[in-house]
Amino acid sequence: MIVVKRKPFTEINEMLGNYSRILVAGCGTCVAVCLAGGEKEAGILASQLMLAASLGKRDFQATAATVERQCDREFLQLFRDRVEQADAVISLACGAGIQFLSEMYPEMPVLPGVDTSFIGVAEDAGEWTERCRSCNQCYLGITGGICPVTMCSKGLLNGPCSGTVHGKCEVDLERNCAWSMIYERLDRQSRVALQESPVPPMRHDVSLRPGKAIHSAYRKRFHIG
Amino acid sequence: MLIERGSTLDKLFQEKLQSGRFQVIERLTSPKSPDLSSTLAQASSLKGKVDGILVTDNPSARMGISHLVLGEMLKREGHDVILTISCRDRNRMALGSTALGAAALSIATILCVSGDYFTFGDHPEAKPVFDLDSVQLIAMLQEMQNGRDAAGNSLDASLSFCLGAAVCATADPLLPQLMKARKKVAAGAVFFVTLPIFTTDQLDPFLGAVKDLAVKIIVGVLLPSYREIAGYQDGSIPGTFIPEFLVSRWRDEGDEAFLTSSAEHVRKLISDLRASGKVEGVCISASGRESEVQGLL
Repeated sequence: MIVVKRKPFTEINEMLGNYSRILVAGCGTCVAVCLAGGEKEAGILASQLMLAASLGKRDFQATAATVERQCDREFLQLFRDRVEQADAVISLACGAGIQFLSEMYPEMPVLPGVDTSFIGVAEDAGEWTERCRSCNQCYLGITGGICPVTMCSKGLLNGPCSGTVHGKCEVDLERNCAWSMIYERLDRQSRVALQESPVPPMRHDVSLRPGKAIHSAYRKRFHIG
Repeated sequence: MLIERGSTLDKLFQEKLQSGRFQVIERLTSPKSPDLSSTLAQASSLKGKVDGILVTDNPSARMGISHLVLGEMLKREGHDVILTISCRDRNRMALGSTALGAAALSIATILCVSGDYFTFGDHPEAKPVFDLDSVQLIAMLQEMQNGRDAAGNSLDASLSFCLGAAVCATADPLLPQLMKARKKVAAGAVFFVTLPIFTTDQLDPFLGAVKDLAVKIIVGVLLPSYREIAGYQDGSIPGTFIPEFLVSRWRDEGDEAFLTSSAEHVRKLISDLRASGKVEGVCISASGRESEVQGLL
């Protein structure tokens, strides 16, 4: 899932400037799971904005609406009536959703209500950690299922740096050293031999940004091949 | 036309390593200034007493003058230079350019390192590069000796490098470090420079584990500052693990007695390493105490 964190209220409020008809657009998928941008959080932000505006005795209206996914045009269409009544939209979706919403309603100022952090997993209730940098060339088959690109602070592909501190990362002693974990996992699986030879440098030409993916079954539809 | 660069010095350092004579290298940090006079004066004071100068590359992620410039200035004054190249600040194109630049300056002995992370240094907000890691940097330089750059393009010159790598002999856990050390040798490293050690006991497990590798070992030793000792905890100096008994003793002695005591400790350590016959040399780092290095030899 994509993990986001909500921007501080003061930052959001300052971004609004003189806009007075605000739609807070929630997203019902990843950001709802990480308790930052779902239906409940969109409603809370709209209420906070109303409260702040009332303290300033300002003519102001903030409402909230949430769709299942903001990364899909089919769902973004559902915002149309609400967007037409607003003079600015705050999207609580990830960066992809915010951009897609803005693309669908190009006349409308769309402002980010969250900062998109990473692709990660739920460790526990309220705790998420990063797992994938979407590098487009997965190494997990030779690293015991632990990604060195993501889990090593330096993204080293061939082993630990010299800074490992009792199995922890030199950059953050609270974090495990990725390569200590990789070695231990491979050893447990009797697969350390996978790391005997140098791994060549990552190819950045296979992950040109912005990325694009077309499923093989749809190639004809998009006139490819 | 093919031009030969670096081959003379390459042979020189490799021959020095092969000679069986104990090598003494001093590590000098690039100053944060275009004025190199004090660094060159320090190097000059050790001329004839050390076998080479290890030039660092923004060590501890602290921005200083270009390592190529310092290396060239030292060479002009007749010093043998071992040039550190770090993967932290340059992508593979810039690393290749740096290597060509080094070869043009006849600096052929290269120590390949990943680099301390930015958060240790004075530019914590900088973008980490790490396009290559140290193993891949060694492999790239090895390939450049075969006439090809990182992308397989032909070079217009024949290069000759003597490639080395940094290793942490006191790493915990040690096995992943050894795994990477073997890759470094497979990629083309012919010598290791260890991160600083403080007792010969610390070194023994590592030496036992690499005894079958075709690689020469230069052992890092550090003349620490009192500030480093006062604030020391495992992890406070990247890759450097000072035994607890030494930290306690040096702290208890206070800063003045510490200067004498630590210098004597390092002097004896160098002497023991020389007498052991197990390693090919030492690389001395002195945290602001460079003027005391001469007394250690």
